[in-house]
Formats: sequence, structure tokens, C-alpha cells
Amino acid sequence: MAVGTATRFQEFRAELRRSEVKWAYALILPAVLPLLVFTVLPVLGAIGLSFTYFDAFSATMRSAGTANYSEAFDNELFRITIRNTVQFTLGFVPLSMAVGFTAAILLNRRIRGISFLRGAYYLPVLTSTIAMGIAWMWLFQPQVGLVSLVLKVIGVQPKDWLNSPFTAMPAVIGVAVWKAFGGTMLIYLAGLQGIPETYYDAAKVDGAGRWQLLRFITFPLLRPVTFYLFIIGMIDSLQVFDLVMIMTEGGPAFRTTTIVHQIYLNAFKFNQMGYASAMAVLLFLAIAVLTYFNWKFFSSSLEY
Amino acid sequence: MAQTRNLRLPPRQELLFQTLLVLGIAIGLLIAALPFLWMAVSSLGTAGMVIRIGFTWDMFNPLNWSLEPYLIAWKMAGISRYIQTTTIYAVAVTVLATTTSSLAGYVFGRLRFPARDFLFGLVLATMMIPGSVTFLPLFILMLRLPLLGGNDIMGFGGHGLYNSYAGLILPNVVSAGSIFLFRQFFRTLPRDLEDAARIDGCSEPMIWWRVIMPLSGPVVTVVALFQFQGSWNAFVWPLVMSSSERLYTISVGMYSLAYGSGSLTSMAELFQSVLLAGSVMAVLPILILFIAFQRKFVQGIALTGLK
Repeated sequence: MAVGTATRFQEFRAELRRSEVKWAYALILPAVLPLLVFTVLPVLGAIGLSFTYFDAFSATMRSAGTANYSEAFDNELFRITIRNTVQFTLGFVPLSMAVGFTAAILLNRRIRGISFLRGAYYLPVLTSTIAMGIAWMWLFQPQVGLVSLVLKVIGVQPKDWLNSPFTAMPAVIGVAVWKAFGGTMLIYLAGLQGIPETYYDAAKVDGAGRWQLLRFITFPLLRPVTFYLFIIGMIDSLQVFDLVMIMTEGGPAFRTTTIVHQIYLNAFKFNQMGYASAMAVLLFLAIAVLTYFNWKFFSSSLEY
Repeated sequence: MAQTRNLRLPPRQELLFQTLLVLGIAIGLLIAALPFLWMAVSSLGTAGMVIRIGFTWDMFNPLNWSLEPYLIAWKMAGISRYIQTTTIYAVAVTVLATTTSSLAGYVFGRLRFPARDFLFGLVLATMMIPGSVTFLPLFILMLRLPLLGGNDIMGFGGHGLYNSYAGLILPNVVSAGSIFLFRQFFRTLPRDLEDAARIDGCSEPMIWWRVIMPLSGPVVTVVALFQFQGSWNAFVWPLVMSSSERLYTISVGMYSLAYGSGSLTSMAELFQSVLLAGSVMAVLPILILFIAFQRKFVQGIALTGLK
């Protein structure tokens, strides 16, 4: 009798296990299948297409060997694109981190209305880049735009900011920082709130001032957050598209064109799908390398 | 408290410090909010006041405000159609992606089955592949899907799912990041509940729907909010996937208006106010959602570390 119950129990458990496994595959299918078809397959497709001359509309395809890649490395415009991306990164990453960090320090206190303030600082992140880009285009209007009016006060002559070779990229970087610093701030705030109060108390007992607390406790303990934001910022910098499309269309004279903008133009305006795919593959490799560093850093130093 | 007092500077310097602090916060607020305020005020221009680009004091006088640009934007510039398309797109993506991702999160977080870790690793790996790498091959894939939209079995002859809602929505029916978020959350739930349901003969989808989801309100809200916000603002994919205005989302529509391929170019007089009115309408739904769910948005960022 006892044996019979035990066997029946085991059968019941085995039955449950089988049904669990069956359901498991059925229920992840609507998630895993689209990921395979719409994310993994396109990457393989881009790699394949990058070795061809391909016209999507007439669907003619010729083998290109590595011609698309050598074209990228010989191409003057591609060099300009890389230079633009480097310039954008050099401006955007440190600025968005510095502004976001400053905002986090300013707003890391319990005062009335603090969540309203944090919300207001964060709002630009959530809004449409196209809509806000349109607003910023007029703020950069040469004669009466707000930027010109403000800069005139400190003695800077008005310019056609978005159409001058030397100011277009700084303007785009400025708007990108405006759009992103709220996110950086929230991540820094989460980091700040994770630092135990006792560390500060101990340092204060030892007579540390505000600057020393920042220098010897906050900075070192936020280093993982800073590293994370640094890598994420670079990955974002590699993918700027919406902002340059709406504000400058890559101009003046390709002064603000970016990799994704070049992929878009070559694929959809010049019908050079193979060359565009080669650029997409290079972009993918760059992002993969950055992601690898991020992963490596966080799997080796989860504790600090 | 006692320790905090240690930190205080001499009264005069303390006052200076506090003043600088308030000043810093105010400057930050100004920088973050000014473009929105300027956009809202400038969008209320009338036909008689063409140049409202700059800051003039009478643009802040409510007597000079007019809703005319909004009416024109809504009726003649096609904003109503763009908003309608964007709503369909964003709601569909939100519902589908939240459903598929939470199901997968449940399976990866709670069930044991062969190849689970491999499959989950695959999901994590796709997180690092951004849309800016895949949009071109994905476009070709949608254009050449066999047997759809007039295509033959080899994918030629028609347009596949190009320029259709299905083509717009399908690649976004799941989000790897959301799967990860759901899995992390589901792993913290007690096991007893679902075991009890299992003994009572509940099937896995029933457990997901009846036991797990009712306990997961907060994380479902966070995921749904970010899905909606992301697809409301989406630009690259709707841009390459739509050839007719019928399928323009608000971002694509605003872009086409700004660069004159829309139906408004002849109305240069009101053009600026109308364009800004359109931008306000593109931002407003997200603003309302943000005011209603601010805590959730902030939690979501802290939870995921995503910007």
C-alpha cells in the first residue's frame, strides 16, 4: 500500500515534469522565434549582404567579395563619418556624464518638491527626438533664436549655428546632452543612494569636508557606475541618427553625418545595400567590442 | 544629525553654499524645461504674428494666444492621422511585447527544461544587437517575405509586408530586455503558490495568468510604460517601413512636415506655429503618462540601469 502510493506519487511528479517541459517550449516560442527571425537573422543577413552588390527593389545581386569593405576604408566620406563620430563621442560622453553627475549631486537631498525636480530634469529623455529637434532648430535660429539672444549677452556674435561648419557639430552635441543627461542623472542617483551613510559619517568624524567626501568616498564608490555610463555613452554615440536627421540632415557638407545616417543614405537614397550592410557590420563589431568590455568589467568586479 | 552639523561651514560661507546650491538647481530646471515652455508658447501664435521665433514679451500675453495652429495641424497637416497610426502601433507593440516577454520571463525564471540556459543566453545576446544595425537587412526581409503581399514563394513579385501595419509591428513583438526584467522579478516570488496551483491541476499558462501576473503589477507597468514610450517615439523603423502617409507615425510625419514633403509647404505664414503645435501634440501623451506614472518611470531606470 505504502509502496503503491509512492509509485503513484512518482508517476504524478514525472507527469508534471513532462508537462512543464512541454509548456516551457510552447510558451517561449512567441518570444524566441521573433528574436531569431527579426534580430539574429538580420545580423547574419547583413554579414552576407556586405559581400554583395545588392539592389532590394529589382532584387539583383552580384558577388562583391570584400569590395564593400575596401571601399569603406578608401572612401573619403567614410573617413569623415568616422571623424564626426569620434568628435561627437569626445563631446557627448564626458559632457553628458559630467552634467548628469552634477545634477545627481544637486538633487540627492530630501527637500520639498524633489521628485518634481528630478522629473523635470528627466523629462527630455522620454520625449520624441524629432519633436524636440524641431523645437531646437528654432532655438538655434540665427537672428532671433534664444541661443543667439543668450550668447549675444555674453558677447558672442550670432551665427547660423546649424549651417556653419564649426558650430553644427557642437550644436548637435549640445542638444544630445540636453536630451540625455536626465538618464545619466537617475543612474548616478541610484548609485549615490547605494553608498552607505556610515561611510560618510566615519569620514566626517575624521574631519573630512564636503570636497574630501566627494573626492575620497563618492568618486571611488561610483566608479562602476561611471564605467558603465562611459561604455553605454560610447555605444549611444555610435548610433546617433534621429537628431542629425531632423536638425542638420548630416550637413553642412556632411559635417554632422553619422554612421547610421550613412547606412540610411546608402541603402535608401543611393540604393547601395551591399555597401550599407558592410557599414552595419562594422557598427555591429564596434558595439560588440564595447559590450564585451562592459561585460568583462562587471563580471570581474561585481563587488567593490 | 549631529554629524551633519560638523560639516557646516562658518555661517557666511554656509549661506553662500546654500545659495549656490539653489542657484544650480534653478539653472538646471531652466535648461531642462525652457525648450518645452518656449515650444508651448510659440505654438500658440496667430496668423498676424508670423515671427514668434525669438523671445518677445507679448508672446507671453495670453491675449495673443490662439489655438489656430493646433486646428490647422490637426486637420490640414495630417497630425490627426499620424497620431492615430502611432496610437495603433504603440498600443499593439506594448500589448504584444509585454505579453510575450512576460511569458518567456516566467518560463526562464520558474521552469526547468533542457537547453534553458543556452536559450536564455541567446536572449541575452540579442540584447546587445541594436535596431540601428538590423534595420536595413530587416527591411529587405520584410520586403521579400515569401507568399505575403503579392510575393511568390521565392519572395519576389510583390512588396511583402513593406508599408503595412504588420511589417511595422512584427519585429517589435518581443523585447529581450523586458524578458530579462520579468525573469529577474519572477525569480523573487515564492514557489509555494505556483506549486499549490500545479497540484490543483493548473496548467502552466494558467499559473502565469492567474498566479504570477496578479502578483506582478509593478513590473508589468514598468515594462508596458517603456514599451509604449519607445514605440511612440520610434523613428528609424517607421521611417524605412512606410512609403505612404497613411503609415507615418508621429515622428516620421513631423519629419516629413519639417522638410516640406507634407501638405503644408504653401502655408509658410503659420508654418512655424503649426509645426510646433504638432511637436507639442507629439510630446503631450508621453508628458501625461510621465506625470501619471513618474514613480514607475524612475523605478524602471533604477531597476534596469537603462536610460
